Amino acid sequence: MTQSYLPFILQETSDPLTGHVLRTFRHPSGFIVKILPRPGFSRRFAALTVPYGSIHTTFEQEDQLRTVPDGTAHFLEHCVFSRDEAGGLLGRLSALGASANAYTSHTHTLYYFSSVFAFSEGLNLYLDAVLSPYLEPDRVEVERPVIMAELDQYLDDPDTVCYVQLLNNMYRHHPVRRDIGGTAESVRTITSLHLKQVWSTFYQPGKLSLTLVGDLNEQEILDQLRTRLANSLPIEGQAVLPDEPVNPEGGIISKAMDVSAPSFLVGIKDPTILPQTPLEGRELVMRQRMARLAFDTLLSPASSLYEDLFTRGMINDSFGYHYACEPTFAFLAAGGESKDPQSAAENLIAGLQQAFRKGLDPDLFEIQKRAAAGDFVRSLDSIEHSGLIQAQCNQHGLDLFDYPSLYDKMDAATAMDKLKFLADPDCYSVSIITRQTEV
Amino acid sequence: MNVYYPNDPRDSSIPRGIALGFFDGVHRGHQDLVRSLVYHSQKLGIRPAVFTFPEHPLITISPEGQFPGYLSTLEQRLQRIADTGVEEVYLEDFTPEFAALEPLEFLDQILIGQLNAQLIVIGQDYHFGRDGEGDLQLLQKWSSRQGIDLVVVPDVRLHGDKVSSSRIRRLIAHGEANLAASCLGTPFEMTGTVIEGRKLGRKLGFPTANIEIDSDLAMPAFGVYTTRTRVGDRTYESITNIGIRPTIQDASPVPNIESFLFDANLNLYGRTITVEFLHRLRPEETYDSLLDLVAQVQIDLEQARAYHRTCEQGYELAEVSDIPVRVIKSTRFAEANAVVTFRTRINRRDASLFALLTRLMTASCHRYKSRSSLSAALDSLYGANIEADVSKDGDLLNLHFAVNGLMHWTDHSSPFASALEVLFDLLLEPDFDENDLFRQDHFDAETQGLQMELLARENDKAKYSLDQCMKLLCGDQIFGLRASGDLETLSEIRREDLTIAYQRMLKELECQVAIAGDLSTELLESVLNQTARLSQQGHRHTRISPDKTRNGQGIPPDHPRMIALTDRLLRPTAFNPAPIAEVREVKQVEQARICLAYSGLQPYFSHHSIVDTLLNSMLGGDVHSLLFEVVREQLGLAYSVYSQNSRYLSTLLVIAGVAPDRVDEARRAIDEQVQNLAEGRFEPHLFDRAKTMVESHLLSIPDDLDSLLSHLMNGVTLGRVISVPDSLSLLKSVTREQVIERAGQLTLQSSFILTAKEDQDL
Repeated sequence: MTQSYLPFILQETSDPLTGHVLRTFRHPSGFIVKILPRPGFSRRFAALTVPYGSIHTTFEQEDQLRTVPDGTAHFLEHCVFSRDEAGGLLGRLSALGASANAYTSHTHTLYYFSSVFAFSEGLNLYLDAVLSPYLEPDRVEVERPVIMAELDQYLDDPDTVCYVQLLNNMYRHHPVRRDIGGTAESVRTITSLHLKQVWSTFYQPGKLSLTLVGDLNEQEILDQLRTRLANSLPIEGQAVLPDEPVNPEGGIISKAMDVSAPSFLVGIKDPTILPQTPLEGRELVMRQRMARLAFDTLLSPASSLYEDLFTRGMINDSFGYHYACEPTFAFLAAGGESKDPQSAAENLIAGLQQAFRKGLDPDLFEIQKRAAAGDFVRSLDSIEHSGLIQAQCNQHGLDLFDYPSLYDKMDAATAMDKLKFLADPDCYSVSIITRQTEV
Repeated sequence: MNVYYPNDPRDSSIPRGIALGFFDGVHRGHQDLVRSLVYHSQKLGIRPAVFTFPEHPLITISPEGQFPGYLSTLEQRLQRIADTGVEEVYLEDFTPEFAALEPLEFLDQILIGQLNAQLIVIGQDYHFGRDGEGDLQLLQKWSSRQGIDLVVVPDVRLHGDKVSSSRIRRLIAHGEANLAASCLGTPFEMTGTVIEGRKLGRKLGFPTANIEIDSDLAMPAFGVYTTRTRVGDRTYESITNIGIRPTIQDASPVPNIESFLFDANLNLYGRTITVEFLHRLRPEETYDSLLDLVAQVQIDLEQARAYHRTCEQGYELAEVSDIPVRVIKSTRFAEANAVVTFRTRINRRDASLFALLTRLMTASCHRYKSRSSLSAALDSLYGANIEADVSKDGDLLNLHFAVNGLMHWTDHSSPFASALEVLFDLLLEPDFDENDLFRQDHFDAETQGLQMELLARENDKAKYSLDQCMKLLCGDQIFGLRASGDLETLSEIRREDLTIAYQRMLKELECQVAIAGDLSTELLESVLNQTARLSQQGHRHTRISPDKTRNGQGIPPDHPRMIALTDRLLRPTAFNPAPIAEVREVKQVEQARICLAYSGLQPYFSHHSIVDTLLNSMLGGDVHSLLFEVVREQLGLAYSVYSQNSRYLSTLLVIAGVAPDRVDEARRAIDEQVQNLAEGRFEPHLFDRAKTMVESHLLSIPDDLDSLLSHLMNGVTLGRVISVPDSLSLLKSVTREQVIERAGQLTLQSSFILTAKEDQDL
């Protein structure tokens, strides 16, 4: 059923499983609002998705190709939050009792907050900060040392170092190979001009989506947005990425650190999703979800491979895996702490290839579908959790409630076919963190 | 706890801490007072004792009957005092001779001469001696002359007024049962024997239990109440009418109490039951006809059912042997949660032993002999989860076994109910081999897993620094032991040790079960049955409590010279920090870490600890805080700087990550912020923002089922379960001056700095 909330266009969907409703409002500028009403809950949640992440260092702006230093997306996120005489965005929001946060990923930046009191006021503050940030040189210089300190902190974190090292090993040209925060050198070169270039191209209403969850006054919020968006028009601007070779550099890359527990990550580069062969929208999400089920079948504690590696002491509870699947890159990263990380990595690779050759256990695949369906329903119990999932869905033009129908269409045989690259040893690479004394 | 009656001998050789008061109802203010006694006595290494009277002094002072009724029977009062950890109660008859004692005679002859008091704990307006002439001022002078510690416990203020027994009696008399429960910390209750009634309710389809009540107790305002009714070890949701039933012909002028228990089919005649008053639905009214009354009763029943279904208040559903089963009913969530907690006082060996045991017990069981089959079973229950972990509250070690899952699925199954069965299988049917030992391969894998977990903690430099700082703070006391144990002890553990540890866990460790969600009667019965299995396997015994053996006010004529009551729960012990210490360690790090521990927060159980929560929010707990605003934002000295309260150690911790060449500058800046708070040098809005933020956190608790359950169980550990509205009321009463005063009590006790270089910038 479609109704008009001029100039917004409303579309409402409902989840047959739980009866929850999702209301989507589209503004002519391209701005999208998703509202998940949850009467009876105290806290209300808002998330603003900006389709600009760390990999978008080169982009077209007014027919010109711009390049900004690594870490610019993250720097801009900091500036939106940066303090001013009134305490900055965080200070203003905390005065309302709201908790605010943000993160920068490879592909997007997400600003979110939740509050019990004065939600509309908080939302206005948030939108002001994101849509009209103060990006002058004085702000940039104040924020630079804080970012440098954050980077230092990550340099002491073996998990982050191991992960960045793995990406570096997997990708040769794609900017995903570089740390989201950039390096000390790149952050030193970021200027007010770089930030303004990014802001004027990507931080425009027509590119943004807003997710709201909770016991909300919908009319009040739409009235606010209507005024704010009155003069907003769609904006052109597109990131440009270099072509990426199909295979990773491969091999093992290691670094010695002051750690007590060494660790490892095995990376498998998905050769089907690259800048030159991108995947988007529903197809992308379908692949994400299908891969998740396949990897749950192959690597979760319910799998025989996990059981085998655990019982042999190769892995422990720290073992985890993550399949990143975005329009221009996709990879699996799996690993954790291990007394003998190299041997653990080799055993994991051998086990994974063998398990894949044997084929996905269709019964376990179906069980993982049930688990995923249950996860989806449980996520709706949490204001924040359901809001964050929907905010991430927004990037791909999907609704939270589309998940169950996606799962219905998946089976083990199709998943095997989509993940054939797992059998190819050339797709694998390894990152290891060893104890300092061992070097 | 030993109870000494008026003529029992008193041993004056033992140094004691003494709390003074009548403690009718043992309300929230009394609880703070008596717990303070236990806390400070533990710190001084002396025996905590309460000196009180069996009958209220007003009965002696005004024999004309002005006393409006007790809030608790003597037995209830003694049990509630025993629950605080007090070791002795001395009962003194308030005779005219005693009432005529001069204040100093009371202090010298009784408190010192008979009880060897080294510590006295009183409330703010305590009076004693002839005509109440003895007051705080006199006591202060006397105690300082005698070298006796004196602790004056501040009043608790709730919903606009001081919590006091007289206020609670008024609230009960006005039908404000919910406010009375807020002040008492537990609903007002009446115990009595079920007697034959007119059986009118039975004829109308809702058989009620008529109760003969104790006339010494305070009388609630007449009307219809939502109640809970305890029958033996079991609590039922109920609705209760108290009044003279004016609509029924030949109405008796004697007040009558009759309760209808929901979802219970019991023959109660002759049994002793206890009715807890939660909320008055309506006052007693006269109806034109019996039909009108019946119609109204149907409405009352509906309202009471709705109240029970949606009030989201935790309560003890049953005590299965000595295992309490607590529930929170909520209809707002798709999932349900349950947790089984075992608890013991920590020691080095037990920490490693139980950390390994919890891992083994959740790796497999007799039904699911491998991790993978267990995981697959839970995944097939629509992703139900079972998790086990160990944690610490002060010197108590907790073993948590938690399960969550969806309450219903579209195929009419209950994944949660099935997952709960799996949890109890894990607890009761471990995967032992033919020698009753955990399997060798599982033992090896889990031991290695725990070793890695212990090693990996050092990978995180912030956690490493915190651990080192806690070691300095605790010295060689058991408070400093880590819940997950240590590598050395772990290496000494054999499989045989784990079988013994498992049996100890079932038999000796304190056990509690808690469950939250949209809980059906059938599910709750199943939980009780499973808990009974747990109890039987551990050969646990029902506790003897006076509620179950006796009833009535005053001293039982056949009382023993000394009776023993046990504290029903383990409580964290009071903590004394180690001497002040500072350590700097050099490692190869990009970022230096500072961890500072300030002693001086209030005892963990205090209703005034909300002041500490605000203090933390203002210092470094939130983004408006001084540490965030000044140290990070204005001075740019740290990316990460925050504070947190270590409640059971009465300690505030500050943790910061800073550039190695700015360690001392950051350290000075942190100290300055603590000083600024202590001297009131902060913007007025800081206090307001902290209050708003804490209020916001409190209001968010009911948004999450897990938070609701944790809030309940934290309250149990603290010894004071408190609802969100009551917490908000406590918060509202906090003043800026109280926070400043508390900040002034902070003392830097331990300081650990992890840095990359030895040269400092001083």
